[in-house]
Amino acid sequence: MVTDIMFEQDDFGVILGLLANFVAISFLNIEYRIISQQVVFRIISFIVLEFLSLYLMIGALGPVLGVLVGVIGFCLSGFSLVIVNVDYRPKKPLLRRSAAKSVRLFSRTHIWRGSVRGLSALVVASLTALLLSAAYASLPLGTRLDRVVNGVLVTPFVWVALGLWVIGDQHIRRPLLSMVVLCMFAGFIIFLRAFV
Amino acid sequence: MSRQLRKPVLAVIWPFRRWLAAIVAAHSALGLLCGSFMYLVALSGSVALFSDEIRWWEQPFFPVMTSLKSGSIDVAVADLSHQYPNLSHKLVLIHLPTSREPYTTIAVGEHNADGSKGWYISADGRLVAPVKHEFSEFIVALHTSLIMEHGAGRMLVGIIGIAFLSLIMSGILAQTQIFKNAFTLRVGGNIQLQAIDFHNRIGTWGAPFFLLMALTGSILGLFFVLLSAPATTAYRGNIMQAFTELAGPTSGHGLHTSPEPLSMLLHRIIIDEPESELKSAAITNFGTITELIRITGVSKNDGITPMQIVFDGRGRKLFDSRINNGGASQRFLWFLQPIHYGSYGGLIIKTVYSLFGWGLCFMTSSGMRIWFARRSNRGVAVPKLERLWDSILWGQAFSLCMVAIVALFPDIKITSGMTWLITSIGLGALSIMMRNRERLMTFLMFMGSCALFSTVIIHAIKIYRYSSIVCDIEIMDVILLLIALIMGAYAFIRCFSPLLANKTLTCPPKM
Repeated sequence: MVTDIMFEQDDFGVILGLLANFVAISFLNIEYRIISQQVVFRIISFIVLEFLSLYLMIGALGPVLGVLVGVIGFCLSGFSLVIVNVDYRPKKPLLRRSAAKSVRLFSRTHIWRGSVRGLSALVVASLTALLLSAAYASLPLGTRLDRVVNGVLVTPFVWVALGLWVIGDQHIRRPLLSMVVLCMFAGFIIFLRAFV
Repeated sequence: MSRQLRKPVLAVIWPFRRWLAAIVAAHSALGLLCGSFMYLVALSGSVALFSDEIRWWEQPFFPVMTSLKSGSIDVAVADLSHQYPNLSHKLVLIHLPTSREPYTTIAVGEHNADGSKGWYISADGRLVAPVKHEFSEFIVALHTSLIMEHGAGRMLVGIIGIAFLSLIMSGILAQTQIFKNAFTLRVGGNIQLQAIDFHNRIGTWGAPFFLLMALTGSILGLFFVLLSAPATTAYRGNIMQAFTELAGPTSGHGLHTSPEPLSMLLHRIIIDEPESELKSAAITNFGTITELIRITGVSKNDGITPMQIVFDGRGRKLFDSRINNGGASQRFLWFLQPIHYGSYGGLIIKTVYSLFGWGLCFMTSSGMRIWFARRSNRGVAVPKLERLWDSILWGQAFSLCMVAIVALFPDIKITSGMTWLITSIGLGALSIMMRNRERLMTFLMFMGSCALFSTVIIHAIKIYRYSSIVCDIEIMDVILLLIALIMGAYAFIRCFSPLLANKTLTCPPKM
């Protein structure tokens, strides 16, 4: 076969995967009236093609390299399409309402308030996340090493979610109190597992 | 109907509008809190990716070897014992020759009296030249620990990784029109819109990659903190046992009387594991009955699957990462380092990683710039803070070049960390004293450009002293010259083009 002469099978899979990736992202860029009135259609096409791309990549390069090259391909395809779509002469130089709204929100943040909240989030959210991780590891679910490793991998996400909650919530007491409750719950599980 | 269609999808289906506003505020607060640290970590990471190349640039004359001669490692270890009479109980690190790094070094886990770190080994195992990689070591230390010692810096960088993870997630959630505006990039019109578009587009399309880097970076930085909590309950307080099951023992049991020579051990692994490329060997508790030898390598097939085997002093295999690994999560843990450092794909992957790193630097800078501009337009400007940020943003080229220049002169008794701190603090102080921001930025660019030129010239003179080949031009020097030229040209244009100099972010009247 011609493909056998020109490419290794792996290379062919990678090229096809990258192509599917590019087409998937291009779907988001197509004027949707041409395809359908529904934005949902474009998003579904995008997701289906992305899965196909990932499948091809993993088939060609294995799970780790496949996902990594897929991620890099995704980002580069997106950037290349952004560059293609550069608008050099904007019709409305002024801020649109949505952008203005978004920027107003950004500018509201006070340095000291943000810093105090950030530090509270760091301490409280980290303690809660670590306690929840410890509580999970004490439960009899799978081998203990698996539980420890899962705890290591998931804790950053829990930390992030709780931290964002503390920083972002308008009433700082609400997330802090909720986290105290969560800590008590985690502590109760750890206590129970230590003696039962 | 048409009006409803034009509404952004997420804005329609998203039920927590107030929560969304809170997320945007959180994004802003976190960005302000960690912006400068994140910039330093991203910048040093983008440079540290090329640490192998920087090592060659720093010390281009070393004994090249692609494979080890039988017995040469044992000769090197014996030589090291002569250099260090008190070598027992210490950590001995050996870098083995690979296709990408064709040299062998041996080092004790501390700096030598002359500031060097270990020695290059010749083909017959003699210690021929001290390893002097001050600048590359500094860049790696700046990225991994912000030059702080005793694990505090590593933890701080891990926390910055968590903050970065939060910024990515809040940034994605904050963009209600993420699909609609996915390809919008307005350039040349309103400069604030341009900055916002650049910030959002780099953030949107780089998000999967940034997410990977933030996750792997935060786990690498906070590994022992994250491990300690679940290990305390799952292993009843015995954290070391959890670590031993995960990565092998950290000390032997103390029974052997006749240790197996290291070269024999390596030879055995090379024959047993033809699919693996050995990268390093670490001997802990050297010369004692609790001696352990940890050999690391990587699969030749994909260049990413790691291998780690631990032997005791008698050469008995105690741990093999490929046998002991359990589920997918345990395997992922072994891939953290190659994924984060981009060490699996050669120069192309490193360049792509570096470009993303520069993108992150740009995103950090544009985020800060947007915030400063908005405050300025609301009449609550923070000019000192703004100039201080400029000194961090544009002054790093100068500070890093000063470190490189000092590292090129081993006789100067000042550490790289101290050089960097003094220059950075000096530039910070200068930025507070200089009231004109435009002049400050132009000055910092000129300083950076001159420092880059000086680095290249000093390096060329140093190389010429050791080499009779005049045309021995390093690719690193060419890249540095190019950056210096671009930076200098930009500063020159800013100096003589008032239009460009005054093109700062200004807010249009609110609608």
